[in-house]
Amino acid sequence: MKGIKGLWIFIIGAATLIQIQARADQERCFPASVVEQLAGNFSQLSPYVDRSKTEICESQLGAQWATVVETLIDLKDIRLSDEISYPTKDDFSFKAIPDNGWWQYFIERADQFQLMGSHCSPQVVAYVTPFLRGVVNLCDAFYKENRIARAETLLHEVRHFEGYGHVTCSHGADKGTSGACDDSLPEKGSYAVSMQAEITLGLRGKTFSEAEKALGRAQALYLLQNRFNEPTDVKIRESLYLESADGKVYDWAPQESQAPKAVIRLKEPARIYTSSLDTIIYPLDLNTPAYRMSEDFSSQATQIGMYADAYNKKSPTERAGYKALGYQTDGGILTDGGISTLCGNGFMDIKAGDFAEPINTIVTLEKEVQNPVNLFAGASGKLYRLECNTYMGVQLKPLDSYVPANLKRAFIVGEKRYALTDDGQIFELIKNGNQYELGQDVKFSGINENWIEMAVRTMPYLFDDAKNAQTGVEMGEIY
Amino acid sequence: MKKAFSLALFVIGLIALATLLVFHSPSERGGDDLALDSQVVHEIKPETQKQKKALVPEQRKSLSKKFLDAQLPLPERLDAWLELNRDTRLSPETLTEIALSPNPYRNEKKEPHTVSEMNFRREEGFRIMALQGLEKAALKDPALTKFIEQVSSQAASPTVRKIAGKMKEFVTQGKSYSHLFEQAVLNQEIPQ
Repeated sequence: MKGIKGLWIFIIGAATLIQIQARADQERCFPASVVEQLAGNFSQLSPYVDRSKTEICESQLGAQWATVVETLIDLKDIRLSDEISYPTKDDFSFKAIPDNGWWQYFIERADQFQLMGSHCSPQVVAYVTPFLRGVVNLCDAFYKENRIARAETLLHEVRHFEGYGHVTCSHGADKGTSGACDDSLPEKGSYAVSMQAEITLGLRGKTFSEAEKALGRAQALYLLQNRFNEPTDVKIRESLYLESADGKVYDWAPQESQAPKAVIRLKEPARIYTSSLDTIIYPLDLNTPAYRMSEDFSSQATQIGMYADAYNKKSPTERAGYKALGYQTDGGILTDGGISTLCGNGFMDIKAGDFAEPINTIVTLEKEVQNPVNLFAGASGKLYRLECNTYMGVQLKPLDSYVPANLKRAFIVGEKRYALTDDGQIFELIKNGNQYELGQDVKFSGINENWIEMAVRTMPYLFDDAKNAQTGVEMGEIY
Repeated sequence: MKKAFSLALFVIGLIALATLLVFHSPSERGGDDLALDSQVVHEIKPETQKQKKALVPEQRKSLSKKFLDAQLPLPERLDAWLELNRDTRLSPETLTEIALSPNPYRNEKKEPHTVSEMNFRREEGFRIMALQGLEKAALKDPALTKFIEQVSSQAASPTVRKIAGKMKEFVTQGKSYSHLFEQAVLNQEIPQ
């Protein structure tokens, strides 16, 4: 009997110990050095700085401070993810959000927290008052929010210190609700900041679960549709990349009537192609592998695509046979040996010997349902279209359309077409019946006009007018 | 005899306790955690590394119900979403059902900066997540655009209907509205 009693005492004791242990496991702890860094910006954390420890845990900070510290670290840690770091010069970092961008934005506006603001009610999440600049009042609901929502709340609130208030919604889910909307997205008020924070954390946050990030991105779309009285949506800016013989790449939007803007100097002259927002670069030096850069050339992609992968597996001699690449769905790889394209489950080929005439290049002169179409230009100027059929394989079908025989590249931009000729000149391309003819040549004063490449670029934008969607503020170099 | 029995029970209990403590110890956490500079010392499970698996329709239904259950804690609901996405045969019908479903907070008064507003926004977010799943599927297989079209006309939420309309417009051009939106936001300067 006594033994059984002892066992019970033991089991209860063990269960208690396990619970304590489990609680210790769930406790949030932070590197002591990081808490010390945060205390440099938020002096309220100074009492918790302890250099004799490696970690500062929730049991010392208290649950509310632990939540604040966790959120501050999330803000501090917004970093580029899934990218190989590629050495670029600092002055090239025109990226909208540099590594510490959001953190800098926040600490320049906030230096103190009220862990339970005096105007809190069960419904209120957080608030600021204009006459107490720098103080962010947090309420009970803040501590119950998920991490991305907490970070977004802090960034949203500090924007109010600069006089950005809210107005009554004129449409959307909160139509008629006072103080639930901003006038417009371009004014970059608190909701613009919220939306950008949700996207940034939802794409680049490294400490959140994938599902939480997906929720953040989805909520940003909700904000776009419901928080701005002036209707705003995704717009597309089309332009051309022009590359000079020394590897300098310019962005030129013919419809904007502006001179080309230098965006980057490649480490060496190269063939350039665009796919989605990325640029794929095939250096003219055949010993250098192809690589893929993000839309603003600030980082190198880890996955370079099947075409570039295939290229990098070739020997320099085989690479020399490359003539052109087409990155649209009906494009492919054009080499001396023929055409290789994605059809069915993988690459399919047409041998050069099966062509009716030598094929010189790939051009993009038309759109079908807004989608650019790749066409193949023969030595005579005749155009051909690649067709992929699961049963028949790939075929090169002749069209009753012709281009000048000396075209190197040609693209449709908006309603107009532009061509780069073999001798490095740019011309407008005029459609005349079934003929595309060289129109007026395009000259830019003060810019070297020996162009070696042309690629079309599609850039989405939201906040500002189209010219601000141009890549680059200052030109940098890739080393 | 009694003493021996008590001692035996004590020893068994001790072993049990030790075993439980070992299996509950912090050493089970990710080994890299402490190496992460200025990062919360958390266990971060890389969900994307988890294996895909085929769910039976009942499992799919139960997970989608869990995902939409506003009474459940957020982490549980997000876990349900991850499980759903690991399904090798995640059906567009499941995603469509989620996207069509009404927001449980639709009739509540949503004062700005309040819990009810955050709740409403989060529930809308869940439906938009499902819609984005359909968008991704339709970009791979244009025949699935019909599901986005269905959401654009039948979703209970006007916001979801509107976004679905936009997505359909972009998907038919082979473009992802969500991706372009995200890139457009990233390409803007943050206020300084």
